[in-house]
Amino acid sequence: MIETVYVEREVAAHPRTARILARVKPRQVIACERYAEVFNRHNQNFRLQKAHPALILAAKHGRRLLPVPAGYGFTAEPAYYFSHMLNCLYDCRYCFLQGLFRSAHYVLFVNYEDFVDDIRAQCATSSAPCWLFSGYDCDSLALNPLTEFAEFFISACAGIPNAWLELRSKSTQIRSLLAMPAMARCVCAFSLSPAAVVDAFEHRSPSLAARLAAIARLQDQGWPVGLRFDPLLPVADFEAVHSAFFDTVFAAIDAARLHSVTLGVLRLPRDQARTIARLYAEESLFALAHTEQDGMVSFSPDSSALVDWCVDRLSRRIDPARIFRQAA
Amino acid sequence: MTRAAVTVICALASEAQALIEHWRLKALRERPFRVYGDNDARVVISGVGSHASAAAVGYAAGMREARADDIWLNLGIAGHGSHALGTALLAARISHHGRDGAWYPSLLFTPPCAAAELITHDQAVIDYPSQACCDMEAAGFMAATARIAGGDLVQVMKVVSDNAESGIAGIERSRVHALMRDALPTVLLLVERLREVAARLPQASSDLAVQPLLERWHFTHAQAMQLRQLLQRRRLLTPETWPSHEAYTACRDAAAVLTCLRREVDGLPLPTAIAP
Repeated sequence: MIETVYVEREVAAHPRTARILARVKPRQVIACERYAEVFNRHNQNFRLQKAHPALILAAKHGRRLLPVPAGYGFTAEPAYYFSHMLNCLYDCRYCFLQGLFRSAHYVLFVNYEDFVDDIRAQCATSSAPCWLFSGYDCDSLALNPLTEFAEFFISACAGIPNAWLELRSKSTQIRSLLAMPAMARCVCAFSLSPAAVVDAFEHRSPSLAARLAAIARLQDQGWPVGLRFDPLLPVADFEAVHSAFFDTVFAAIDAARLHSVTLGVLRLPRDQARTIARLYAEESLFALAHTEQDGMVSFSPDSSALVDWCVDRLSRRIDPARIFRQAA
Repeated sequence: MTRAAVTVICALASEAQALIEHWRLKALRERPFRVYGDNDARVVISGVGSHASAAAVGYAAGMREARADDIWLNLGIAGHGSHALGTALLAARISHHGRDGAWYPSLLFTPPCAAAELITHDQAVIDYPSQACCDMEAAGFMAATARIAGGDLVQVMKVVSDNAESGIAGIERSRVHALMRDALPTVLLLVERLREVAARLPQASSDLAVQPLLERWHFTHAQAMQLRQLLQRRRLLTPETWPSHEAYTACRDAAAVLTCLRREVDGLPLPTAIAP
């Protein structure tokens, strides 16, 4: 439950702000000039804030569309990510946001129209497909009943012929998607992990079974669905755990209709890994042996072997051309 | 588990008296600031004004080693245009009149009272702004704590002592004491909630396995730190009890023990079953 909402004065009169405040019904609404006055101040503690985060309603200025990092996604075509929101409802222990931000408050940028203007301008530079990834700094769907993000951006991108959208999520908040016709250029990409990993490390997130049920419903309605096995964690009995996991996944969904599958191991920028390890010193995940290369920390010494094994198993179920390894 | 320590900065003795009596704090220092305290609570009388408040924060911080779970509270009286006398208010936005910038204390708990904006003035004011409290200390307190404390455990609570109807003429010692005494349950609830937040910080754990090894081999200070880290990692990755140091009898020295232990720990996979 969100008790405190901070509102930038610039968006205080925005109709989306009014709608969100009416839904949240916070105990206190506090005006601020810019969201950075509240969010990510130097002496904040992500772990403390995560237990009781506030919502900050703000306007996004500057660059709203950014090129995806090398090795992200599944396409060689121009690809960008955008974040209508910073931080996530869920509390996945491996999440890089814990190390990226000092604050766990949710920042929601309500000026969706400005994002769409930027998307339209970017797509107009070429007739080639332009991929737009959402869900990099947040979960695309987790707060959708509040934000109405999906319906707005899907409708907007439907009117831009070369815009292709990926909504990455662990959420089962798919009601808005089921209420509209499937859009062929919008991939609903679900992050999946074995049930034991969900229980142990993906706190507050929907169960594996609930995610699979949501995927099946979306597939039934014709939505393109992607699976994201990322991060693969080097759990004990990795092969047995993941064999059973893949059996569960492909018993619930239609593999033939999958848009894409991506997979990769847990890797974090060095500074973020150190920050997270300090925040959660009692977590087994950060007690694992890790290696460092080019400023990136990997928690799987034999990461390529884990990925190879998974690719081999997945290739028996789906077209290998639709399987994509993420940068190690 | 030890309770987080709380330091309360009050401008006036009459603002602090009820809390000092309730906690039965002993006088610890007389100058340059009067300080009352026990093991896990301190009250410091700063004197009036933002500079005095900032100086008291610095003085109190220097009295002992800082901890990540230290709680800081500025408690006192304030004016408000419309709130009734005696109303306790938690500051949600604090600014210094005539200056840029503001502080937003983290509300990581359900506030025990209403939240309000607070403006610190350099002199007492009688032309109350419409929606904000007026005090003379909080901005100095916030500026000083921003440098020495975790921002999520710093709060400012004010009790309305004057409003547009009453003015400031009637503010005197016994009335301030009475107002603060009546607000004491709210203050104590705030401290309790802050302690609950602070308790979410990770606690340092002691590892019983380390002592026999330290006694059996000679570890340098750096080696002892490595040993503790490896044992901590091992404890998180395997439920198996630590074998007795006899398992390492073949090791000639501490370096060999560390090598042997590191080899074992680095080979351990992630055990989802024992994850917290």
